[in-house]
Amino acid sequence: MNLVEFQNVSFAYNKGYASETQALDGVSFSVGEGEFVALVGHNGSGKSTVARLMNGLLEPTDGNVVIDGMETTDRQKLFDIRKTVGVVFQNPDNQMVASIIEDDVAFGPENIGLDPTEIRERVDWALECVGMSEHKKGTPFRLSGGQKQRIAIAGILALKPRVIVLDESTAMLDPVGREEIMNVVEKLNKEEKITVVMITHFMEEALRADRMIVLSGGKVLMDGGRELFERADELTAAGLDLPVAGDVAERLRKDGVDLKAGITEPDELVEALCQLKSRT
Amino acid sequence: MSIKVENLKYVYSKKTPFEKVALDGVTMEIEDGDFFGIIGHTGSGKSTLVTHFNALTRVQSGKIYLGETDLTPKKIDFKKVRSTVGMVFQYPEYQLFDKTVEDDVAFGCKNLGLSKEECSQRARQAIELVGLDYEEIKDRSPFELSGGQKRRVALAGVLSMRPEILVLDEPTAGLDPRGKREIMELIVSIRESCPTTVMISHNMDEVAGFCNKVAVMAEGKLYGVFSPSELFSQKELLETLGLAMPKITALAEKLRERGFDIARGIVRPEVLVSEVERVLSS
Repeated sequence: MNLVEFQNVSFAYNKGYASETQALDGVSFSVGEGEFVALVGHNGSGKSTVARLMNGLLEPTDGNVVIDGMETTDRQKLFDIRKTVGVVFQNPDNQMVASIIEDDVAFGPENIGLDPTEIRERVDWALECVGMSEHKKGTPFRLSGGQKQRIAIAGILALKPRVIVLDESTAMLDPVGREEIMNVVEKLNKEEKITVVMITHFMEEALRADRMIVLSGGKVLMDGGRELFERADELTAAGLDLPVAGDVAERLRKDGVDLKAGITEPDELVEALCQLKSRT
Repeated sequence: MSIKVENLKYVYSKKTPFEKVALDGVTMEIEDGDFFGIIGHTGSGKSTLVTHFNALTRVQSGKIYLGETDLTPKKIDFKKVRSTVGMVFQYPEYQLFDKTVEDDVAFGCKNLGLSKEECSQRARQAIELVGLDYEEIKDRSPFELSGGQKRRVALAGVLSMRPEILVLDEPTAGLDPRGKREIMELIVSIRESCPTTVMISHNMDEVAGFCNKVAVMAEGKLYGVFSPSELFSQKELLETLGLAMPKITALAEKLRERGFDIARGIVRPEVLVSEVERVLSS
């Protein structure tokens, strides 16, 4: 069974009012246990709406969102759904609730009523996972953006979710902070076997996922692996950038250089060009 | 208008256990017409430096001249300085507050003590300058706009004061690729009326593509001011400073290492493409 299932999901904000806006329109996809999926799309394509539907912060106006067999509209199951799916948001400053780091991470486990020894273990483990153990007695307010965001992830981890959704969690960070988060996310996926849905604008980040879902105008435009990058024109038309190597490869291809479509990695392009050069 | 900085030092929380040297003897000059980039790690002193430019941060030690005006004395003409140097902070849309777009954009002008008509005329001009439809948007609440529109409105609020120097802190952060492109195009077009631009950025690709000079900051010190191709052709320097190369420059560098005879410090994809084609056809 799939862990996350969107069945023909539509969602409109302010439904029934003059300002009604259709954010999602018949979206279907599923995410299996252990997958690392990137969800990309331009601003307003419906990405964040998907994140909010995934743990029942929003309910679909049409269709079903099913998490591990539980429908998000089932109020009885909401608690279990939120334990299964944890969401990390964009702004690290908005996600800090306590003045001591370990208290902040313990906030979730305390709220689900775990006993103190269990909380202690989970907090230590979560901080270990994100590499912030030595800061646990410190205050989050003196940390860098990347470090704060790692604390936010630890706070979610302490709830032992099976799925972590990152809603543009790297967008406000500098390149160093972004790399920190990407490394933590990859580690959680590979070592802790946590399913990851990562919402991002950065195509270089999307390339690190196993699969990419492209949203455009509230619909799923593409869903697949690396081969999606062969459809360069469609990606650009959806308001996305190609990875730099892909952009250069595409320009060369259009000028008649004999390269295959769908190159994404710099090394791949360099190899292909070296071969061409040795032929001349 | 130019900005001259001489041996500027700044210490936060002086004489407390939290004392931190933010700027440590910075000397530089931003000339009229520059598109001046400032790069460096979080905590390297970039923001402390630029907030000196409009006297939000006051000089502790050293000198700053805004054109001919010395910003060092305690009493200066703040209104003049703040309207000359327009400061657009990171995520400026978080600073929107008023009931309508027009009022929000005109707020700065009102504070300058301009007449109602003048304020509203300037607001109109600024809103049009950032590519929005004045009639359509003026009476709407800034909070019901899209992210990209909000950022434009916030920018218009600064432009309505008719600055001669625009200082931008990470103007494209958090926008999608199309939004980033649009804002950069907008900034370039604003340079017609406000010719000097200072931009803090972590995005090396943008710095490489738009700036004519790049200042590198590290631990409160100015490491140097370079042209983009000069800076980004120095692989070792960038590595010691822990700064990334623009992705396009890194790709070109890989090709050079594999025997492609192409120029150093390439910062634009179209240049790389034509260099590669030249090598392949020779």
